[in-house]
This record gives sequence, structure tokens and C-alpha cells, in this order.
Amino acid sequence: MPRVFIPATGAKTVPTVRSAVYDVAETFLKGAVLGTNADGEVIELTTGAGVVDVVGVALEDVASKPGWNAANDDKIVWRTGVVREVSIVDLIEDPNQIFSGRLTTAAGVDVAPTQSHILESRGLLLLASGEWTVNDDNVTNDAVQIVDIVVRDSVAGSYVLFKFLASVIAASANIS
Amino acid sequence: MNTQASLNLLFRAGLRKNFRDTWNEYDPEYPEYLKVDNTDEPEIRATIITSISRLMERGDGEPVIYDDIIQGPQVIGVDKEFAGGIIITRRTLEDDKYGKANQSAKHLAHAGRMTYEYRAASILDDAFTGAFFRGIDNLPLISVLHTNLNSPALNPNRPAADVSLSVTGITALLDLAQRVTDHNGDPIRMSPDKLIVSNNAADVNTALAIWNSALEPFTPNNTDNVIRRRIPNPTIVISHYKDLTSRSYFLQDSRYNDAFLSVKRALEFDDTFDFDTQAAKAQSTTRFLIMFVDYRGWWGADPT
Repeated sequence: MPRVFIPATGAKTVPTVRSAVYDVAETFLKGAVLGTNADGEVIELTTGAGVVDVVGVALEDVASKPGWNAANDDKIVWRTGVVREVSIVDLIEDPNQIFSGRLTTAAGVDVAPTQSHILESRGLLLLASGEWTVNDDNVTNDAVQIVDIVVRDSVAGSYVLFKFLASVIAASANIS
Repeated sequence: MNTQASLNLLFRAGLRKNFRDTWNEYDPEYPEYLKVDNTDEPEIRATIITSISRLMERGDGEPVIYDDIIQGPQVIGVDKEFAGGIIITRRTLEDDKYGKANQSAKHLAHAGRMTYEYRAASILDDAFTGAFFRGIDNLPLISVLHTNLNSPALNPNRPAADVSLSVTGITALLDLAQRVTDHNGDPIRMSPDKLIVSNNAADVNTALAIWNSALEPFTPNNTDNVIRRRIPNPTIVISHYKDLTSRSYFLQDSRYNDAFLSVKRALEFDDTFDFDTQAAKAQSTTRFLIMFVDYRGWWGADPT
């Protein structure tokens, strides 16, 4: 199972989390980098021109809370108390939250993190699988700063610790 | 967070001892119209089942005609979590001369009680629109369009025209109760035994008049009070927590009532002191689910 963006070390043991309504068309997975639409619902950002106005990182897939994807889901005619929400790490509230994630090339191939990566800034990459990685090839649309590395026996098992640049975090957000 | 200035009246002598902060609450009302139980499940799913309604006429030598058991659709319910807390600085607690700042448990217990009551009453407020609560036929609790799983006939539990609480209004609901059918459209016996009304004087007084008069109330005639013959001694539940501007009212057969409140985590209280600031922190949390599956056992009108 690939490593997705997950909250890592920080001053607190528990990241600042809020539950946010997602746009009904969303299909994002845990670790997705999120912004908001005009209705204040969270949406997955794209990496084409670099991420901007980031509000948080998804802690779970869409439609994965209790009440969704139940057995014989197609037979369900009504869901009581079921919410169209995901818990997200709130970057507006806590912009210094540190995450861990894979370091890859622009093609999604794992890159061995080295000490020279520390304090470097990079852009992000959204793979076709829905997984987000830190794009070692993207030094144009910087979105995160690598603050530490974790090197393991295999390149695929290694990862970087990073935090989002203040410049890509939304100044404020009216999250539903 | 309460700091000193926010409760500074409590720091000075001479205040009257009665702070008007403790009240006699009504007994819990939601168990009167919701079945209350406990659950360990993260979600509750339900369906309905029926089968053949009648045996078929069989000619000499003919084989038996076999038919299937019929399964309904599915509804699912997920509990909601409720939480609240109070933080008071240590100095505020120490300077309070009346012991009033240090009563977070009392305030949070009250908040928990009210959460149960108001959330439970929301099923009454939503009974005619179904924005939050719908049953196995994907309709509100009270509807003129209720369907049967294995019969094309409608099974309304709301009169075609809503009449305010009165002899006529109750009669209309009792007439509907008399015609309730099961999933096959076969008649079933319903015995409404509960009347649920809002806390407004007109409806409460009307209910009392109807069931305390041997003769038909509100008329100059000595006509027998037929309602008392049909439903002699119902429990009258006055909901103090449903929308007070609503004049909706309900009859319920408590045996067949399928609306329930499942407690996932009973009201829980915790307190601690913040290590860095030494402020006193108190919190209360609970998880429960309110839903209904089958509409049978309820009748209602919403004249507003």
C-alpha cells in the first residue's frame, strides 16, 4: 500500500482536525490536498499550475464514514444521520502541521531522499491513482518545504517530512 | 474560557445566596414517544420482510403454486456525537466565594439532558417533511403517500386535509388507524394509546376536554363522546421541546411504534486541569442515534 500524506510530528500529538462537507462530485482519497468551492465545500486541488488556497489534507476517503459503502449499499433508500463529510487536517488553523509523504519524480517514480533535500521546497504531484506525492522534479510551483527525511532500506519505503508553504495556504476559508 | 473578570461578581461578599441557577426540569419526555435502547453498532441497518398474502385456489390434481418471500429495501442510520465543555481559570475558581464557578458538571449534565430532548423532538418537527428522518418507503414519518411493500394500495397516516386538534381531527386520525394494513395490504389491528401535542394551551386544553367529557365536547348536544369509546384513556404527552409554533399532533400505538433512540455512548463527564495553565477543564460527550424504519403505529396532522 503506498504511503499517502499523513500528519506526522508536530508540537501537538493530535493534529487540528475539522469535519468538512465535500462537494458531491468528489472522489478523492485519504491524503488528498484540499481547497474549497464557492459553497464552502472541500474539493481536491489539482497540480497543473501548482496548488493554491489549500485548506487542509484529507484524513479519509470520501464516502468512507459509517453509513457509506454498507453491505448491499444499492438497496439503501434513506440514510439517517449519515453525513457527506470528511475529517481534514485544518491548515488554516494550524499551518505548521508537519506531514509525511513519498518523494517522487514527475512520473511518480520514488526518489531516495537525501540530506540535501532538507529545507528544500518542492511542488506536489497528483498521481492517476489519486495518491499525492512530493514532486522532486517540480521546483517551479513550490508548495511544501521538506523539513526532514526518513531513509529506509528501500527507496519505496523512504519518505520525507514536510510542511506546507504559507504562500499556498488559504488566508481564510468558509468551510461548510 | 472564563477568566476572573467574567465572573467577578462572585469574588465579592454580599451576594444573595440564591443564584437562580437550578431548576426543576420536566421528567424525560423522549422515552414517551421513542423506544430507547443501547447499541454497540457503528451503524444500524434495517429492512422489512413479507410473503404471500393468501393461499390460491387449487384444482384437482394441480400442483401447489409457490411464491417468494419478499424483502424490502434498506435504511441505515448512524449516530451523532455531541460534546461540550467549560474552561475556568484556576484563579477564578479560587476567588469564587460562593462555589458557583465550580459547577461545570451541573451545567453540562443539563446541556446533555436538553440535547437528548431537543434532538428527539426534532423527529416530531420533521415528521411531515422528512428532511432528516425518513423510513423504509423513503417518505416522512407522517405522509398521505405511504406505500406497502407488496400491495399497490396507499397506506396514509395523515389525513388528506389537516384539521387542528379537535373531535374532527382526532376522528380523522382514528379513521386512518382503523384502516392500516400490513405490507401485503391486509388489515392489521392498531390501538392508538398515546396523544402527542405541542406545549400550547389550546391543544392541551382541547385534549383534556375531549378525554374528560363523557359527552361530545364543544357542542350543545348530549351526543355520546365517541372518541372515548374508540380510545378510552390515552397517555397525553405534552412535548415541551418540539417547535412551539407548530400545532401538529400525533397519535401513536406504542406497541408498533418503530421510532427509536439508540444510545451508543451514554452521557459521559470528564474533568481535568490543564497542565500548563492549571485551568479547570470539564467536558461532556454522548453519542446517540434517532431514526425510524416503519411508519405504522404513527398518525399525525399538521394544521400549520
